[in-house]
Amino acid sequence: MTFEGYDTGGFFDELFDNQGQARDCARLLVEAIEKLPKGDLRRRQEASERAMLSMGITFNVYGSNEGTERAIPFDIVPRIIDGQEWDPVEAGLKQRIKAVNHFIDDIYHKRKIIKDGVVPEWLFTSSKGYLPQCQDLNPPGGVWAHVTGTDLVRDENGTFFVLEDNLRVPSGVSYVLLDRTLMKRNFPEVFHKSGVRRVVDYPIQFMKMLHKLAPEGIEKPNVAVLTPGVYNSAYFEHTFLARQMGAQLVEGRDLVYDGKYVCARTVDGLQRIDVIYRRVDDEFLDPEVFRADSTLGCKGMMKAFRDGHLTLANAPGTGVADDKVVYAFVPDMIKYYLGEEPLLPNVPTHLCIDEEALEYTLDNLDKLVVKPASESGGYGMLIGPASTKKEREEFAKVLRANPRNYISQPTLSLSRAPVMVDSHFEGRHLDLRPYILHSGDDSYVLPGGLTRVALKKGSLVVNSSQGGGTKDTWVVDRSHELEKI
Amino acid sequence: MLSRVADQIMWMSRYIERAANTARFLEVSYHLNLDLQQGGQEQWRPLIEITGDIKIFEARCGEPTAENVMHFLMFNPEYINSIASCLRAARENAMGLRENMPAELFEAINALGKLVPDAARRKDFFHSQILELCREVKRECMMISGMFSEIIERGRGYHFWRLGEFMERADKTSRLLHVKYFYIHPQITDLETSIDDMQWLALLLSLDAREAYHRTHGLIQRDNVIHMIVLNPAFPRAILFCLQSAQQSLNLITDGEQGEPHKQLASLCKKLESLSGSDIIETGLNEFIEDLQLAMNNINSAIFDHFNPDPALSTGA
Repeated sequence: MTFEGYDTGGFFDELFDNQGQARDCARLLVEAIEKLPKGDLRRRQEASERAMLSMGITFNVYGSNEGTERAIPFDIVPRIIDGQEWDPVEAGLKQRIKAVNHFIDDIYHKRKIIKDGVVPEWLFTSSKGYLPQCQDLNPPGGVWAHVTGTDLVRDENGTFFVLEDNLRVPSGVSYVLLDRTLMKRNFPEVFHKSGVRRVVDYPIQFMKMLHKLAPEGIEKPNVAVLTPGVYNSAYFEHTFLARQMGAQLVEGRDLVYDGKYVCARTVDGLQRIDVIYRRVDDEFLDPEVFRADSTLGCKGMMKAFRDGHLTLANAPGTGVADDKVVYAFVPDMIKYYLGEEPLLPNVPTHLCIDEEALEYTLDNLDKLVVKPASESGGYGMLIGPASTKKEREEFAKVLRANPRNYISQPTLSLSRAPVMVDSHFEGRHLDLRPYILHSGDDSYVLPGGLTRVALKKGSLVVNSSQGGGTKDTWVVDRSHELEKI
Repeated sequence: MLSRVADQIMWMSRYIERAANTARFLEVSYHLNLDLQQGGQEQWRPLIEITGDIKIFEARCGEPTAENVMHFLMFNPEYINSIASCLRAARENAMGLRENMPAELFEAINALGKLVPDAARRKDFFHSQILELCREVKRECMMISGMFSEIIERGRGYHFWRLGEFMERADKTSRLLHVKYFYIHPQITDLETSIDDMQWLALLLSLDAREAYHRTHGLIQRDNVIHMIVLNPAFPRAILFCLQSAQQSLNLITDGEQGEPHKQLASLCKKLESLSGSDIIETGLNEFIEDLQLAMNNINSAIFDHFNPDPALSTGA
């Protein structure tokens, strides 16, 4: 199968430069694909998709009864990033998450950053994820955001920008691990020769981090993964991670508070749990403190957490920083808490709460992307260039009614990579979600992360709920290949 | 092991066993009725009686015609004990246990959960194919039980599965016997006639016990049939066999430690071991079965209580 005639369309392409030549990091792969007999790549792709279905790698689709499970589309052409380009991104992510953790801790304690006039007070009081119940809490090791999925995009020059930080319960990492398993099967030689950085030890890194941040004095913590249950759209991932980490998978109904500890009901009696990696949102964790009608968590969980008998990852209240307005201040936080210049730039962001910015946004709705501050999954946003006049008029009303809740950004010319369409390749836009594990003094960044690709031609929306697929992401150390030559 | 996980394993196993039993009853009744129809003595109502859900049936489906009964028991998605519902419930439990079982086994249970609804959706599916579907359900259920034997280590998970399976089977065999005696109660004129023989034969067929019966006892004779399906400690669908097997699994789960369910189960086994077929007839079959079912229900509750330190909702029916 050949890349002949593949058009980068004036965008930054991950595999080809603007002359149409394969980038150095991608050359081995492109050569290998071009040598494949006709139809072979398609067969491999289909075999990979079948493997995903039979392994039960599916996500549930809300609102339909029978046949509720689908496999997320997978494209067999990996996205490749040069290791030397990746290293500064990794450093930038570590810096960012460190600063964000400082910020959350500060907000729930003395709020020095506000007193010092670096960020305005309304910033946190109006953030949906702010929980007054978390005031003065001290999670073990001072860590609030243990795991973060930060979304990155590249512009027409290939520069990486941070689009948003997912600090609550970021999902998708199981696809990284599974896509990798499939790709190692499909391109073992290229994989070996390119020196692809490994992702396989992510669950081990995760477990190590949780052990390190267990309540004080616990040598061998009992770790559980808390899932909302089989009907959650990410249930497969919860079971997958629990299995890979060697943790127990529990649901709210399995838990009970014994007056001091959160325990699991087991056939041998109550068993104390020290660390919970929870995939349940804050407001459902403890019906005594948050939503009273929740059955997904357990009564007393916040008491155990507050008393230092339980580690919750991520800590409740972390969502205060998972807000697109707060996001705009992260570069200031880096300077304030770390005394460093930000290594990774934000996408230029206009806060609509600011009158001038609001007017500018309203005047340029056809050119900008406008996003609600605390929604995820690509819902409730306006992509100016792709909108109709009527949509813009409607949106302007919503925007005027609640400017705090919106930000606007220029429409980036997102980078692309080839995907297989029938029997040829076409460029599609993509983003990247690396996962960062933060354990206080150090962080681990999953090399690469989840590449989400908008499979619809021309589309900029990569969310799986809106027709996005995934690709394996290779961070390659070419030096490995060059040594051999 | 989490209490919920133990409970879900037991229910997954019970639902599969329940579906398989219903498929057995459906298949045998179909055959029996083909033979009885000449005399206009077709009987479908008893099949619903076995399930204990005759009221639900009458409210929703009306007359117990062949069509209504077969459809109700095989496909009805709102009736929780239909084959389709049982297999769906088994699959839902399996989903909650996914990280605890080999992928192969999950895939088999997953596929089984879709078998009946898929058949119902097929445009070319016609009535007489229900028989083939019954055989398929039975075969697939046995295959899953076999997979458990072949690939699951003999730990607690395995024994909770067996515990659920044998308690369910003991219950279904007792219901089958109950219905035979009190709803196809032999009319005076039928007594000693071939219809009575045929009904006993159907009972043995439902349990795949015909050959074993003939080898052991020869001609059909009431006390012997009762012995075969209640008291035989070597026949795997006999009630005593099931209870003894459940007892073994229960003891292995707690590593010999005895609790309330152990005591109750041991005492029930001991009682059955001391009886003969004619003893049961003398006590009165109806009374015997009602006592037996009560004892088994108590054992099921005791099992649940024993393994749930702080009771939450049971996942099953």
